[in-house]
Amino acid sequence: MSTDSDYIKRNGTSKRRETVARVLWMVGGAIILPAILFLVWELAAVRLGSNTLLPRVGDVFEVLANPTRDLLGQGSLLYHVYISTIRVLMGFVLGALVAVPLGMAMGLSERLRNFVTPFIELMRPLCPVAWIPFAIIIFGGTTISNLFGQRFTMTIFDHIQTAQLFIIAWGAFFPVLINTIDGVRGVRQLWLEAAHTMGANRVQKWAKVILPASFPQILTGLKVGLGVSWMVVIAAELFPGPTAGVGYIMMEAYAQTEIQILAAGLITVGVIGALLNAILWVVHMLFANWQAKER
Amino acid sequence: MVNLSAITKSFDSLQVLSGMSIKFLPGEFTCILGPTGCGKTTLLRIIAGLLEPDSGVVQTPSQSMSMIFQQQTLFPWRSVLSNVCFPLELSGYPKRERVEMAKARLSEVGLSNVMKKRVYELSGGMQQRVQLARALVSNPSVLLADEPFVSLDEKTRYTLQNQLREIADRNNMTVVFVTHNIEEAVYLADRVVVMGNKRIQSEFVLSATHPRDRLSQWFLDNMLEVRKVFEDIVTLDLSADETCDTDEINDVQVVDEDDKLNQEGTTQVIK
Repeated sequence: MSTDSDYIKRNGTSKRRETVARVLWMVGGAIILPAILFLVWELAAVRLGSNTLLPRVGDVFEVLANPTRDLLGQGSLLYHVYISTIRVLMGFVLGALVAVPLGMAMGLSERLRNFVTPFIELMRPLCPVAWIPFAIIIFGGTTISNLFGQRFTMTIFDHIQTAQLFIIAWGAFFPVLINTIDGVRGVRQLWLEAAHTMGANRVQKWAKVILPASFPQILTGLKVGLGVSWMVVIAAELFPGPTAGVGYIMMEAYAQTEIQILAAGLITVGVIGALLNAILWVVHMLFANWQAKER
Repeated sequence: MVNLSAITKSFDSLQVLSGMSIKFLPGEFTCILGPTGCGKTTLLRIIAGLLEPDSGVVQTPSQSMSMIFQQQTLFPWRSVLSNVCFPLELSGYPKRERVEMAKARLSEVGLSNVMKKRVYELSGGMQQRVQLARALVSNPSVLLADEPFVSLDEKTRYTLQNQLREIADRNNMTVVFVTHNIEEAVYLADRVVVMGNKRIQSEFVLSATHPRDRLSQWFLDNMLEVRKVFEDIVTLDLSADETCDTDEINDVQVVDEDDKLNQEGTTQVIK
Protein backbone atom coordinates (compact mmCIF):
# COMPACT_ATOMS: atom_id res chain seq x y z
CA MET A 1 0.00 0.00 0.00
CA SER A 2 1.45 3.42 -0.97
CA THR A 3 2.04 6.09 1.64
CA ASP A 4 2.76 9.81 1.56
CA SER A 5 6.49 9.08 1.61
CA ASP A 6 6.14 7.43 -1.83
CA TYR A 7 5.33 10.79 -3.37
CA ILE A 8 7.26 14.01 -3.84
CA LYS A 9 5.08 17.05 -3.20
CA ARG A 10 5.75 20.26 -5.10
CA ASN A 11 3.80 23.39 -4.34
CA GLY A 12 3.33 25.90 -7.07
CA THR A 13 4.65 29.40 -6.40
CA SER A 14 3.74 32.57 -8.19
CA LYS A 15 6.40 34.55 -10.06
CA ARG A 16 5.66 37.56 -7.88
CA ARG A 17 6.27 35.61 -4.69
CA GLU A 18 9.55 34.30 -6.08
CA THR A 19 10.70 37.82 -6.98
CA VAL A 20 9.80 39.16 -3.55
CA ALA A 21 11.63 36.26 -1.91
CA ARG A 22 14.71 36.88 -4.05
CA VAL A 23 14.81 40.59 -3.19
CA LEU A 24 14.30 39.87 0.50
CA TRP A 25 17.23 37.42 0.50
CA MET A 26 19.47 40.01 -1.19
CA VAL A 27 18.45 42.86 1.08
CA GLY A 28 18.63 40.59 4.09
CA GLY A 29 22.13 39.54 3.16
CA ALA A 30 23.18 43.15 2.63
CA ILE A 31 21.89 44.11 6.07
CA ILE A 32 22.25 41.06 8.29
CA LEU A 33 25.78 40.00 7.43
CA PRO A 34 27.32 43.51 7.83
CA ALA A 35 25.30 43.94 11.04
CA ILE A 36 26.85 40.77 12.45
CA LEU A 37 30.30 41.97 11.38
CA PHE A 38 29.82 45.37 13.07
CA LEU A 39 28.55 43.71 16.23
CA VAL A 40 31.59 41.47 16.46
CA TRP A 41 33.83 44.47 15.69
CA GLU A 42 32.25 46.60 18.43
CA LEU A 43 32.58 43.84 20.98
CA ALA A 44 36.24 43.33 20.07
CA ALA A 45 36.92 47.12 20.20
CA VAL A 46 35.33 47.41 23.63
CA ARG A 47 37.34 44.43 24.85
CA LEU A 48 40.64 45.80 23.49
CA GLY A 49 39.89 49.31 24.80
CA SER A 50 42.42 51.00 22.47
CA ASN A 51 41.40 53.32 19.64
CA THR A 52 44.83 53.04 18.01
CA LEU A 53 44.44 49.26 17.73
CA LEU A 54 40.75 48.96 16.85
CA PRO A 55 38.45 52.01 16.80
CA ARG A 56 34.83 51.81 18.02
CA VAL A 57 32.20 51.37 15.32
CA GLY A 58 30.58 54.64 16.38
CA ASP A 59 33.81 56.60 15.76
CA VAL A 60 34.15 55.14 12.28
CA PHE A 61 30.54 55.88 11.39
CA GLU A 62 31.04 59.42 12.64
CA VAL A 63 33.66 59.90 9.91
CA LEU A 64 31.42 58.27 7.30
CA ALA A 65 28.41 60.32 8.35
CA ASN A 66 30.34 63.57 7.67
CA PRO A 67 31.89 62.95 4.27
CA THR A 68 32.40 66.65 3.54
CA ARG A 69 34.36 67.32 6.72
CA ASP A 70 38.08 67.99 6.28
CA LEU A 71 40.30 65.07 7.25
CA LEU A 72 43.81 65.75 8.60
CA GLY A 73 43.91 69.05 6.67
CA GLN A 74 44.02 67.07 3.43
CA GLY A 75 40.48 67.49 2.14
CA SER A 76 37.23 65.69 2.83
CA LEU A 77 36.49 61.97 2.40
CA LEU A 78 34.16 62.83 -0.46
CA TYR A 79 36.94 64.71 -2.24
CA HIS A 80 39.33 61.77 -1.96
CA VAL A 81 36.65 59.33 -3.13
CA TYR A 82 36.04 61.62 -6.12
CA ILE A 83 39.75 61.63 -7.04
CA SER A 84 40.08 57.86 -6.73
CA THR A 85 36.92 57.24 -8.74
CA ILE A 86 38.10 59.47 -11.58
CA ARG A 87 41.46 57.65 -11.61
CA VAL A 88 39.71 54.28 -11.74
CA LEU A 89 37.31 55.27 -14.47
CA MET A 90 40.02 56.80 -16.65
CA GLY A 91 42.41 53.88 -16.21
CA PHE A 92 39.67 51.31 -16.64
CA VAL A 93 38.34 52.92 -19.81
CA LEU A 94 41.88 53.11 -21.19
CA GLY A 95 42.46 49.42 -20.50
CA ALA A 96 39.06 48.40 -21.88
CA LEU A 97 39.47 50.55 -25.01
CA VAL A 98 42.55 48.50 -25.90
CA ALA A 99 41.32 45.13 -24.63
CA VAL A 100 37.89 44.96 -26.28
CA PRO A 101 38.97 45.63 -29.91
CA LEU A 102 42.06 43.45 -29.50
CA GLY A 103 39.96 40.69 -27.91
CA MET A 104 37.45 40.89 -30.78
CA ALA A 105 40.23 40.68 -33.35
CA MET A 106 41.87 37.75 -31.56
CA GLY A 107 38.51 36.02 -31.20
CA LEU A 108 37.85 36.29 -34.93
CA SER A 109 41.32 35.52 -36.22
CA GLU A 110 43.01 32.24 -35.34
CA ARG A 111 46.25 33.49 -36.88
CA LEU A 112 46.32 36.62 -34.75
CA ARG A 113 45.34 34.63 -31.69
CA ASN A 114 48.20 32.17 -32.20
CA PHE A 115 50.60 35.06 -32.77
CA VAL A 116 49.69 37.20 -29.76
CA THR A 117 48.65 34.63 -27.13
CA PRO A 118 52.16 33.52 -26.07
CA PHE A 119 53.09 37.14 -25.32
CA ILE A 120 49.82 37.75 -23.47
CA GLU A 121 50.32 34.64 -21.35
CA LEU A 122 53.83 35.84 -20.43
CA MET A 123 52.54 39.24 -19.35
CA ARG A 124 49.30 38.18 -17.67
CA PRO A 125 50.81 36.73 -14.45
CA LEU A 126 52.59 40.04 -13.73
CA CYS A 127 50.54 41.50 -10.92
CA PRO A 128 49.59 45.17 -11.52
CA VAL A 129 50.85 46.19 -8.08
CA ALA A 130 54.27 44.79 -8.96
CA TRP A 131 54.43 47.32 -11.79
CA ILE A 132 54.11 50.30 -9.42
CA PRO A 133 57.83 50.96 -8.80
CA PHE A 134 58.57 50.41 -12.49
CA ALA A 135 55.76 52.76 -13.50
CA ILE A 136 56.99 55.45 -11.14
CA ILE A 137 60.46 55.19 -12.67
CA ILE A 138 59.17 55.33 -16.26
CA PHE A 139 56.38 57.89 -15.86
CA GLY A 140 57.68 59.76 -12.84
CA GLY A 141 55.15 62.21 -11.42
CA THR A 142 53.77 63.24 -14.82
CA THR A 143 50.09 64.12 -14.60
CA ILE A 144 47.44 64.48 -17.27
CA SER A 145 47.77 68.25 -16.91
CA ASN A 146 51.50 67.98 -17.68
CA LEU A 147 50.73 65.93 -20.78
CA PHE A 148 48.01 68.12 -22.23
CA GLY A 149 49.24 71.50 -21.10
CA GLN A 150 47.87 74.74 -19.69
CA ARG A 151 44.23 74.02 -20.44
CA PHE A 152 44.04 71.22 -17.86
CA THR A 153 45.97 72.78 -14.97
CA MET A 154 44.13 73.74 -11.77
CA THR A 155 41.65 70.96 -12.54
CA ILE A 156 41.21 67.46 -11.25
CA PHE A 157 43.70 66.32 -13.88
CA ASP A 158 46.47 67.75 -11.71
CA HIS A 159 45.88 64.70 -9.48
CA ILE A 160 45.71 62.05 -12.20
CA GLN A 161 49.22 60.67 -12.56
CA THR A 162 50.03 58.78 -15.74
CA ALA A 163 51.85 56.10 -13.72
CA GLN A 164 48.63 55.30 -11.86
CA LEU A 165 46.63 55.27 -15.09
CA PHE A 166 49.07 52.80 -16.56
CA ILE A 167 48.81 50.45 -13.57
CA ILE A 168 45.00 50.66 -13.43
CA ALA A 169 44.74 50.10 -17.19
CA TRP A 170 47.10 47.12 -16.88
CA GLY A 171 44.93 45.65 -14.15
CA ALA A 172 41.74 46.02 -16.20
CA PHE A 173 43.24 44.91 -19.48
CA PHE A 174 43.66 41.16 -19.02
CA PRO A 175 40.26 40.12 -17.62
CA VAL A 176 38.54 42.24 -20.29
CA LEU A 177 40.75 40.79 -23.05
CA ILE A 178 40.34 37.12 -22.08
CA ASN A 179 36.57 37.39 -21.63
CA THR A 180 36.18 39.25 -24.93
CA ILE A 181 38.13 36.55 -26.77
CA ASP A 182 36.04 33.82 -25.16
CA GLY A 183 32.83 35.70 -25.84
CA VAL A 184 33.59 36.08 -29.54
CA ARG A 185 34.74 32.48 -29.91
CA GLY A 186 31.65 31.26 -28.11
CA VAL A 187 29.24 32.79 -30.63
CA ARG A 188 27.16 29.95 -32.07
CA GLN A 189 28.11 29.00 -35.61
CA LEU A 190 24.40 28.47 -36.38
CA TRP A 191 23.64 32.14 -35.76
CA LEU A 192 26.38 33.17 -38.16
CA GLU A 193 25.15 30.69 -40.76
CA ALA A 194 21.61 31.96 -40.41
CA ALA A 195 22.83 35.54 -40.88
CA HIS A 196 24.86 34.42 -43.91
CA THR A 197 21.81 32.86 -45.56
CA MET A 198 19.89 36.08 -44.98
CA GLY A 199 22.52 37.98 -46.92
CA ALA A 200 24.62 39.52 -44.15
CA ASN A 201 28.08 40.73 -45.16
CA ARG A 202 31.08 40.54 -42.82
CA VAL A 203 30.48 43.91 -41.19
CA GLN A 204 26.80 43.13 -40.63
CA LYS A 205 27.66 39.73 -39.15
CA TRP A 206 30.07 41.42 -36.76
CA ALA A 207 27.75 44.28 -35.77
CA LYS A 208 24.44 42.43 -35.64
CA VAL A 209 25.44 38.93 -34.52
CA ILE A 210 28.94 38.67 -33.05
CA LEU A 211 28.81 41.86 -31.00
CA PRO A 212 25.42 41.29 -29.32
CA ALA A 213 26.03 37.55 -28.90
CA SER A 214 29.38 38.09 -27.18
CA PHE A 215 28.24 41.06 -25.12
CA PRO A 216 27.33 39.11 -21.94
CA GLN A 217 30.82 37.62 -21.80
CA ILE A 218 32.44 40.98 -22.55
CA LEU A 219 30.38 42.50 -19.77
CA THR A 220 31.64 39.83 -17.39
CA GLY A 221 35.17 40.83 -18.31
CA LEU A 222 34.34 44.50 -17.73
CA LYS A 223 32.91 43.68 -14.30
CA VAL A 224 36.02 41.75 -13.28
CA GLY A 225 38.27 44.42 -14.80
CA LEU A 226 36.50 47.20 -12.94
CA GLY A 227 36.89 45.33 -9.67
CA VAL A 228 40.60 44.82 -10.30
CA SER A 229 40.98 48.51 -11.25
CA TRP A 230 39.45 49.59 -7.98
CA MET A 231 41.72 47.27 -5.98
CA VAL A 232 44.76 48.47 -7.90
CA VAL A 233 44.06 52.20 -7.46
CA ILE A 234 43.97 51.90 -3.69
CA ALA A 235 47.28 50.03 -3.75
CA ALA A 236 48.78 52.59 -6.13
CA GLU A 237 47.72 55.46 -3.85
CA LEU A 238 49.48 53.87 -0.88
CA PHE A 239 52.83 54.41 -2.57
CA PRO A 240 54.64 57.77 -2.51
CA GLY A 241 53.58 60.19 -5.22
CA PRO A 242 49.87 60.91 -5.06
CA THR A 243 48.57 63.69 -2.83
CA ALA A 244 44.92 62.73 -2.93
CA GLY A 245 42.73 59.65 -3.12
CA VAL A 246 41.24 57.14 -0.71
CA GLY A 247 44.44 55.09 -0.53
CA TYR A 248 46.47 58.24 0.13
CA ILE A 249 44.23 59.43 2.98
CA MET A 250 44.25 55.94 4.49
CA MET A 251 48.06 56.00 4.50
CA GLU A 252 48.06 59.48 6.07
CA ALA A 253 45.59 58.32 8.73
CA TYR A 254 47.84 55.36 9.52
CA ALA A 255 50.88 57.66 9.82
CA GLN A 256 48.97 59.90 12.26
CA THR A 257 47.34 56.93 14.08
CA GLU A 258 43.85 58.14 13.19
CA ILE A 259 42.71 54.55 12.78
CA GLN A 260 38.99 55.43 12.60
CA ILE A 261 39.75 57.34 9.37
CA LEU A 262 41.70 54.32 8.08
CA ALA A 263 38.76 52.05 8.85
CA ALA A 264 36.30 54.53 7.29
CA GLY A 265 38.47 54.50 4.19
CA LEU A 266 38.32 50.69 4.06
CA ILE A 267 34.54 50.66 4.31
CA THR A 268 34.32 53.38 1.65
CA VAL A 269 36.48 51.29 -0.71
CA GLY A 270 34.13 48.35 -0.29
CA VAL A 271 30.97 50.40 -0.76
CA ILE A 272 32.26 52.23 -3.86
CA GLY A 273 33.41 48.94 -5.38
CA ALA A 274 29.95 47.44 -4.78
CA LEU A 275 28.26 50.52 -6.28
CA LEU A 276 30.38 50.38 -9.43
CA ASN A 277 29.59 46.69 -9.74
CA ALA A 278 25.89 47.41 -9.24
CA ILE A 279 25.94 49.81 -12.21
CA LEU A 280 27.33 47.09 -14.43
CA TRP A 281 24.82 44.63 -12.98
CA VAL A 282 21.99 46.93 -14.09
CA VAL A 283 23.55 47.10 -17.57
CA HIS A 284 23.69 43.30 -17.55
CA MET A 285 20.04 42.96 -16.55
CA LEU A 286 18.99 45.41 -19.27
CA PHE A 287 21.08 44.10 -22.17
CA ALA A 288 22.53 40.70 -21.39
CA ASN A 289 20.05 38.83 -19.21
CA TRP A 290 18.88 36.82 -22.23
CA GLN A 291 21.89 34.55 -21.90
CA ALA A 292 20.83 33.19 -18.52
CA LYS A 293 17.31 32.54 -19.75
CA GLU A 294 18.22 30.90 -23.04
CA ARG A 295 17.44 27.17 -23.23
CA MET B 1 16.60 28.85 -61.20
CA VAL B 2 19.13 26.97 -59.10
CA ASN B 3 21.50 24.79 -61.08
CA LEU B 4 24.01 22.30 -59.70
CA SER B 5 26.36 20.57 -62.07
CA ALA B 6 28.61 17.59 -61.28
CA ILE B 7 28.84 18.39 -57.56
CA THR B 8 31.24 16.30 -55.52
CA LYS B 9 31.87 16.68 -51.83
CA SER B 10 33.86 14.69 -49.29
CA PHE B 11 34.50 15.13 -45.59
CA ASP B 12 37.95 13.73 -44.84
CA SER B 13 37.84 10.29 -46.44
CA LEU B 14 34.05 10.02 -46.57
CA GLN B 15 32.55 10.96 -49.91
CA VAL B 16 29.06 12.38 -49.43
CA LEU B 17 28.15 13.61 -52.91
CA SER B 18 29.43 12.15 -56.14
CA GLY B 19 28.98 13.97 -59.43
CA MET B 20 25.46 15.20 -58.61
CA SER B 21 23.63 17.37 -61.12
CA ILE B 22 20.19 18.87 -60.54
CA LYS B 23 18.12 21.89 -61.50
CA PHE B 24 15.43 23.59 -59.47
CA LEU B 25 13.06 25.53 -61.68
CA PRO B 26 11.43 28.87 -60.76
CA GLY B 27 8.24 28.37 -58.77
CA GLU B 28 8.89 24.67 -58.27
CA PHE B 29 8.51 23.01 -54.86
CA THR B 30 11.03 20.19 -54.65
CA CYS B 31 11.39 17.79 -51.76
CA ILE B 32 14.69 16.00 -51.38
CA LEU B 33 14.10 12.72 -49.67
CA GLY B 34 16.63 10.27 -48.41
CA PRO B 35 17.85 8.38 -45.38
CA THR B 36 19.97 10.10 -42.76
CA GLY B 37 23.54 10.52 -43.90
CA CYS B 38 22.84 10.41 -47.62
CA GLY B 39 23.97 14.00 -48.27
CA LYS B 40 20.70 15.95 -48.41
CA THR B 41 21.75 18.55 -45.84
CA THR B 42 25.20 18.79 -47.43
CA LEU B 43 23.54 19.50 -50.77
CA LEU B 44 21.36 22.18 -49.22
CA ARG B 45 24.30 23.82 -47.48
CA ILE B 46 26.20 23.91 -50.75
CA ILE B 47 23.28 25.67 -52.43
CA ALA B 48 23.09 28.13 -49.50
CA GLY B 49 26.79 28.92 -49.82
CA LEU B 50 27.62 27.56 -46.38
CA LEU B 51 29.82 24.85 -47.89
CA GLU B 52 31.94 24.80 -51.00
CA PRO B 53 31.89 21.69 -53.22
CA ASP B 54 35.15 19.92 -53.95
CA SER B 55 34.27 20.14 -57.64
CA GLY B 56 31.37 21.12 -59.83
CA VAL B 57 29.43 24.30 -60.49
CA VAL B 58 26.69 25.90 -58.42
CA GLN B 59 24.48 28.57 -60.00
CA THR B 60 22.07 30.41 -57.75
CA PRO B 61 19.92 33.44 -58.50
CA SER B 62 21.21 36.91 -57.73
CA GLN B 63 17.92 37.71 -55.98
CA SER B 64 17.42 36.84 -52.36
CA MET B 65 17.69 33.35 -51.00
CA SER B 66 16.53 32.31 -47.56
CA MET B 67 16.96 29.24 -45.40
CA ILE B 68 15.09 27.58 -42.54
CA PHE B 69 17.27 25.37 -40.39
CA GLN B 70 16.33 22.22 -38.54
CA GLN B 71 17.74 23.66 -35.32
CA GLN B 72 16.51 26.87 -33.82
CA THR B 73 18.55 29.83 -35.10
CA LEU B 74 16.60 32.79 -33.75
CA PHE B 75 18.65 35.45 -31.97
CA PRO B 76 17.83 35.38 -28.24
CA TRP B 77 18.87 39.00 -27.67
CA ARG B 78 16.13 40.21 -30.00
CA SER B 79 12.37 40.10 -29.60
CA VAL B 80 10.22 38.02 -31.94
CA LEU B 81 9.35 41.07 -34.07
CA SER B 82 12.98 42.18 -34.17
CA ASN B 83 14.07 38.70 -35.29
CA VAL B 84 11.62 38.76 -38.18
CA CYS B 85 12.76 42.28 -39.12
CA PHE B 86 16.39 41.12 -39.30
CA PRO B 87 16.61 40.20 -43.01
CA LEU B 88 14.92 43.48 -43.90
CA GLU B 89 17.43 45.41 -41.77
CA LEU B 90 20.23 43.80 -43.74
CA SER B 91 18.61 44.91 -46.99
CA GLY B 92 18.24 48.48 -45.77
CA TYR B 93 14.45 48.74 -45.53
CA PRO B 94 13.24 51.77 -43.54
CA LYS B 95 12.12 50.95 -40.02
CA ARG B 96 8.42 51.58 -40.49
CA GLU B 97 8.26 49.44 -43.62
CA ARG B 98 10.15 46.52 -42.12
CA VAL B 99 8.00 46.52 -38.99
CA GLU B 100 4.85 46.44 -41.13
CA MET B 101 6.17 43.61 -43.28
CA ALA B 102 7.30 41.64 -40.23
CA LYS B 103 3.94 42.09 -38.52
CA ALA B 104 2.17 40.87 -41.63
CA ARG B 105 4.29 37.70 -41.79
CA LEU B 106 3.83 37.01 -38.09
CA SER B 107 0.11 37.43 -38.53
CA GLU B 108 0.17 34.86 -41.37
CA VAL B 109 1.76 32.27 -39.09
CA GLY B 110 -0.59 33.13 -36.24
CA LEU B 111 1.88 34.85 -33.92
CA SER B 112 0.59 38.43 -33.77
CA ASN B 113 0.20 38.19 -30.00
CA VAL B 114 3.83 37.34 -29.17
CA MET B 115 5.71 40.02 -31.10
CA LYS B 116 7.29 41.61 -28.07
CA LYS B 117 8.25 38.34 -26.42
CA ARG B 118 11.75 36.93 -26.36
CA VAL B 119 12.64 33.69 -28.08
CA TYR B 120 13.12 31.78 -24.82
CA GLU B 121 9.54 32.55 -23.85
CA LEU B 122 8.17 30.60 -26.81
CA SER B 123 7.49 26.91 -27.25
CA GLY B 124 9.41 24.89 -29.86
CA GLY B 125 6.54 25.05 -32.32
CA MET B 126 6.20 28.80 -31.95
CA GLN B 127 9.94 29.26 -32.43
CA GLN B 128 9.79 27.30 -35.66
CA ARG B 129 6.88 29.46 -36.86
CA VAL B 130 8.92 32.58 -36.13
CA GLN B 131 11.78 31.06 -38.14
CA LEU B 132 9.37 30.47 -41.00
CA ALA B 133 8.13 34.05 -40.81
CA ARG B 134 11.71 35.35 -40.77
CA ALA B 135 12.67 33.23 -43.75
CA LEU B 136 9.71 34.46 -45.77
CA VAL B 137 9.57 38.12 -44.76
CA SER B 138 11.87 39.32 -47.53
CA ASN B 139 9.88 37.40 -50.17
CA PRO B 140 12.89 35.38 -51.28
CA SER B 141 12.94 33.93 -54.75
CA VAL B 142 14.49 30.72 -53.38
CA LEU B 143 13.68 29.14 -50.03
CA LEU B 144 15.85 26.34 -48.65
CA ALA B 145 14.42 24.28 -45.82
CA ASP B 146 16.35 21.65 -43.88
CA GLU B 147 13.80 19.40 -42.15
CA PRO B 148 12.22 22.46 -40.51
CA PHE B 149 9.22 20.64 -39.06
CA VAL B 150 10.90 17.48 -37.83
CA SER B 151 10.60 18.30 -34.12
CA LEU B 152 6.99 19.49 -34.23
CA ASP B 153 3.81 17.72 -33.26
CA GLU B 154 1.60 16.47 -36.04
CA LYS B 155 -1.04 19.20 -35.84
CA THR B 156 1.48 22.05 -35.86
CA ARG B 157 3.42 20.36 -38.64
CA TYR B 158 0.32 20.04 -40.86
CA THR B 159 -0.60 23.69 -40.22
CA LEU B 160 2.86 24.94 -41.11
CA GLN B 161 3.07 22.70 -44.18
CA ASN B 162 -0.14 24.27 -45.50
CA GLN B 163 1.03 27.79 -44.68
CA LEU B 164 4.39 27.23 -46.34
CA ARG B 165 2.86 25.78 -49.46
CA GLU B 166 0.32 28.57 -49.70
CA ILE B 167 2.95 31.31 -49.32
CA ALA B 168 5.29 29.59 -51.79
CA ASP B 169 2.53 29.33 -54.40
CA ARG B 170 1.40 32.91 -53.91
CA ASN B 171 4.93 34.26 -54.38
CA ASN B 172 6.01 31.81 -57.10
CA MET B 173 8.88 30.78 -54.83
CA THR B 174 11.40 28.08 -55.67
CA VAL B 175 11.51 25.82 -52.65
CA VAL B 176 14.07 23.12 -51.93
CA PHE B 177 12.76 21.17 -48.94
CA VAL B 178 14.86 18.45 -47.35
CA THR B 179 13.05 15.75 -45.42
CA HIS B 180 13.23 12.10 -44.51
CA ASN B 181 9.45 11.94 -44.09
CA ILE B 182 7.84 10.36 -47.16
CA GLU B 183 4.36 11.55 -46.28
CA GLU B 184 5.59 15.12 -45.93
CA ALA B 185 7.37 14.94 -49.28
CA VAL B 186 4.34 13.59 -51.15
CA TYR B 187 2.05 16.13 -49.48
CA LEU B 188 4.14 19.18 -50.28
CA ALA B 189 6.13 18.58 -53.42
CA ASP B 190 5.70 19.18 -57.12
CA ARG B 191 8.75 16.98 -57.48
CA VAL B 192 10.26 14.44 -55.10
CA VAL B 193 13.96 13.70 -55.56
CA VAL B 194 15.12 10.56 -53.82
CA MET B 195 18.79 10.58 -52.86
CA GLY B 196 20.99 7.74 -51.84
CA ASN B 197 24.47 6.37 -52.28
CA LYS B 198 25.88 9.89 -52.86
CA ARG B 199 23.66 10.73 -55.83
CA ILE B 200 20.10 11.10 -57.07
CA GLN B 201 18.46 7.71 -57.41
CA SER B 202 15.01 8.64 -58.59
CA GLU B 203 12.64 11.52 -59.21
CA PHE B 204 8.86 11.71 -59.02
CA VAL B 205 6.77 14.50 -60.51
CA LEU B 206 3.53 14.96 -58.56
CA SER B 207 1.04 17.07 -60.41
CA ALA B 208 -2.00 17.08 -58.10
CA THR B 209 -3.21 20.43 -56.77
CA HIS B 210 -2.89 21.65 -53.21
CA PRO B 211 -4.02 21.13 -50.53
CA ARG B 212 -3.79 17.36 -50.99
CA ASP B 213 -5.97 14.83 -49.23
CA ARG B 214 -3.81 12.51 -47.15
CA LEU B 215 -6.50 9.88 -47.10
CA SER B 216 -7.12 9.80 -50.84
CA GLN B 217 -6.16 6.79 -52.94
CA TRP B 218 -3.92 9.01 -55.03
CA PHE B 219 -1.96 10.02 -51.97
CA LEU B 220 -1.59 6.50 -50.65
CA ASP B 221 -0.53 5.14 -54.07
CA ASN B 222 2.12 7.81 -54.46
CA MET B 223 3.43 7.21 -50.97
CA LEU B 224 3.75 3.54 -51.77
CA GLU B 225 5.66 4.22 -55.00
CA VAL B 226 8.06 6.57 -53.30
CA ARG B 227 8.43 4.24 -50.32
CA LYS B 228 9.44 1.35 -52.60
CA VAL B 229 12.27 3.40 -54.06
CA PHE B 230 13.18 4.74 -50.63
CA GLU B 231 13.47 1.25 -49.19
CA ASP B 232 15.63 0.17 -52.10
CA ILE B 233 17.89 3.13 -51.40
CA VAL B 234 18.31 2.14 -47.77
CA THR B 235 19.15 -1.42 -48.72
CA LEU B 236 21.60 -0.18 -51.33
CA ASP B 237 23.27 2.12 -48.81
CA LEU B 238 23.65 -0.72 -46.31
CA SER B 239 25.11 -3.06 -48.89
CA ALA B 240 27.63 -0.39 -49.95
CA ASP B 241 28.84 -0.34 -46.34
CA GLU B 242 28.18 3.41 -46.06
CA THR B 243 27.21 5.08 -42.83
CA CYS B 244 23.44 4.89 -42.60
CA ASP B 245 20.99 5.55 -39.84
CA THR B 246 19.65 2.10 -39.03
CA ASP B 247 16.44 3.65 -37.65
CA GLU B 248 15.41 4.12 -41.26
CA ILE B 249 15.22 0.38 -41.94
CA ASN B 250 12.73 -0.53 -39.26
CA ASP B 251 9.84 -0.65 -41.70
CA VAL B 252 11.73 -1.76 -44.80
CA GLN B 253 10.15 -4.60 -46.74
CA VAL B 254 12.18 -7.21 -48.58
CA VAL B 255 13.54 -5.72 -51.77
CA ASP B 256 11.35 -6.52 -54.75
CA GLU B 257 13.23 -8.70 -57.20
CA ASP B 258 11.66 -6.66 -59.97
CA ASP B 259 14.07 -3.87 -59.15
CA LYS B 260 13.07 -0.61 -60.81
CA LEU B 261 16.15 1.21 -59.62
CA ASN B 262 18.05 3.10 -62.30
CA GLN B 263 21.58 4.10 -61.22
CA GLU B 264 21.53 7.12 -63.55
CA GLY B 265 18.31 8.45 -61.99
CA THR B 266 14.79 8.33 -63.41
CA THR B 267 11.89 10.66 -63.75
CA GLN B 268 8.61 8.90 -63.12
CA VAL B 269 5.38 10.77 -63.59
CA ILE B 270 2.64 9.80 -61.20
CA LYS B 271 -0.78 11.32 -61.49
